[in-house]
Amino acid sequence: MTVRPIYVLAALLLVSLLPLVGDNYVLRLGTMFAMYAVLAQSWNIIGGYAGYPSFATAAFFGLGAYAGAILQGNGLPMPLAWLAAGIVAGLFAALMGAAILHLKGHYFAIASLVLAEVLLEVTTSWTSLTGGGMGLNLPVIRMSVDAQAQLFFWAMLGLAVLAFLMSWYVSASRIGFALRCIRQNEDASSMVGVNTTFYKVVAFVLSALFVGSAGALYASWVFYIEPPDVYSVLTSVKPIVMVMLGGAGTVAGPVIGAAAFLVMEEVVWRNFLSIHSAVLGLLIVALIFFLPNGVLGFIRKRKRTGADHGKETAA
Amino acid sequence: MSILTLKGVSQQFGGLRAVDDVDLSVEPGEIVGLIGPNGAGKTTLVNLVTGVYKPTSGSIEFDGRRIDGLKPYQISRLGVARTYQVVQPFPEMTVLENVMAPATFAAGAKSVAEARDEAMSAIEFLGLAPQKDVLAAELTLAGRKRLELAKSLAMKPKVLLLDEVNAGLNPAEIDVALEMIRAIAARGVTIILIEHLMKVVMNLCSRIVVLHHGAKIAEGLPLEITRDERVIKAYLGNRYAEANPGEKANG
Repeated sequence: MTVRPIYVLAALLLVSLLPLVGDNYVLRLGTMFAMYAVLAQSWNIIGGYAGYPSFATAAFFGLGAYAGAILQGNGLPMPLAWLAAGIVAGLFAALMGAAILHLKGHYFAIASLVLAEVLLEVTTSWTSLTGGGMGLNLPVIRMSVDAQAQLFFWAMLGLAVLAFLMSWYVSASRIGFALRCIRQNEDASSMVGVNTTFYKVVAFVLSALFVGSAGALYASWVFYIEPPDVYSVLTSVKPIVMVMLGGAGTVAGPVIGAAAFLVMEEVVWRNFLSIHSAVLGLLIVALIFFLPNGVLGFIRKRKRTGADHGKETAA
Repeated sequence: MSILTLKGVSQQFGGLRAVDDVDLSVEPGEIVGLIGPNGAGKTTLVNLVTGVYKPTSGSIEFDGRRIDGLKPYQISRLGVARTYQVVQPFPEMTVLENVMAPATFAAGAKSVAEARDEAMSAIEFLGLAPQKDVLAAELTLAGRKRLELAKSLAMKPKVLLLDEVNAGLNPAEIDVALEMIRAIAARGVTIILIEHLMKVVMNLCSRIVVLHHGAKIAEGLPLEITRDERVIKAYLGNRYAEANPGEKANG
C-alpha cells in the first residue's frame, strides 16, 4: 500500500484554503508549490512512467511563457492565452518528440536539453516579436495586489489539480500501461504489440501541455519575462529532483516531492542566503543517495519488510 | 497455402551477409526446426520475420500479405509472436501484468477485464497460475521461459517463433517444456523452433531447415538431416566428416 491518489487530491484541495489563513507571503509559497507540482507531475509522465530522462521542461515552460505573453500583448484574454500557451507547447513537443524520441538514455537527455538552449537563442534573436534580451512586459492587470495574489494562486492550483487528474488517468489507462512496458523493456514492448513511437510522443506531449500553461501563468503573474529567466536550466532540473524525492512513476510521488522540495528550498534560502545553492545541492545529493526510490519507495520498503510481503498495489 | 513464405531474403550488416538469399515456406500447423552453428544467422532470420530488421533484399509474406518493412508492433498484431533467446520480461511487473500486456496491445482486448481473462487463460495453460502475482524478476529461469511462452500465447498468434526457448534448462525442465510446445502446437499454432538441442528438434519437428553462414544448406525430415554430409561438415568440420565415411555414404 502506498498513498492513495484520492488523498493527494484531498490535500491539494485543502491547500486551496490557504487564502483564508495566510498573508501574501504564504500565498506566494502556495503558488510556487502549485507551479512545482505542475512541473513535477508533467515530467513524471515522460521521465517517471516512460523512463525517458527529459530535460525539456524549461523549453516547454519558456515557450509557454512567451506564447502567453505575446498573445496577451495582442489582446487575447488572459485565460485564453494560458490555454493557447499549453497547446503551443504541446504541438512543439509532438514535433520535437517525433524527432528525438528514438534516442535513448544519455543521448535523449542531451537532445532534450538542447531544445531549451535553441529556443533561448531564437527568442533572444527574434527581437521584433519577443523583445529579445530586453525582455517582454505583460499588460497590467487592474486589480488590487491582494486580489492578484489570490487569482494567480487559484489559477496555478487549478492547473496543478488538472495535471494531477491527467496523471491519475494516465496511470490507470492503456497509455500508462504502455509507458510502463516501454520503461521496463522497450524492445519487448514493441514485440507484444505496443506502438512505442506513438505512446512515447503522447507521453512527451502530456509532459508539455500543462508546463506550457504554467509558463504563461507565470508570465502573467510576474508581469515581466526575459529569456534567461524562463528558459533556465534549473526549470528542467528541479522537477526531476522533486519526482525523485517523491517517487518516480507514481501518481502521488511528484506532488509529495514538490512540497518537500519547496520546503527544503525555502528553509535553505532563509538560513544560508549566501551559500544556498551549495547547501541545496548537497541536500539533494544526500537525499537521492539515501532515498533512491523517493519517499514513497521508502514507505513501501518499510511496509514490505514489516508486513512480510503483504499485498500491495501501486499508487 | 503457406502461412509464411520467405523469398530470396538477405540481410547485410556492413561487410557481413548475416542472412544470404534464404527461401523458406512454412505450412499452417507445422513445427519447423531451424538449426545451424552459432552465428549461422538464425536469430537474424527471426528478427527479419518479426520486423526488427527490414531485409536488404527479398520478400516476406505472412498469411498472403507482405510484411517486410512493417514495424514489429504491426507484425505482432497480425499474429506473429516470438520468444527471445535471452528472456525479456517486464521485470517490475507481476506475471499476470506481463501477460496482460500482449493481451491488451497485440490481441487488442477491449477492456482490462477482458485482457485479464485472456492473460489468465494463457497463464493457466502453461501452469503459471500459482505464480501469477510474483514479480517477473523473482521467477526462476525456467519460470521466466514459461512466462515468455505465456506472453506469446496471449497474443493469439498464428505463427510462433521460439528462439532457443530451452537453452539453460535442465533435462527435467526440458521435458516439461517439450510437452508445452506440443500442447501449443496442438492448438493449431504454427511453430518455428530455433534450437541447439538435437533431442528437442528430433522430438518435435516435422521438418528441419539448416542454416550455415547465413545460407540455407539443407532442408528435410529430421533423419535425413542428421545424415546430410553438408550438415555434418557445418557442425563438426571437414575432418570429422572425412573420418566418418559411413555417415557420408548414408547422406
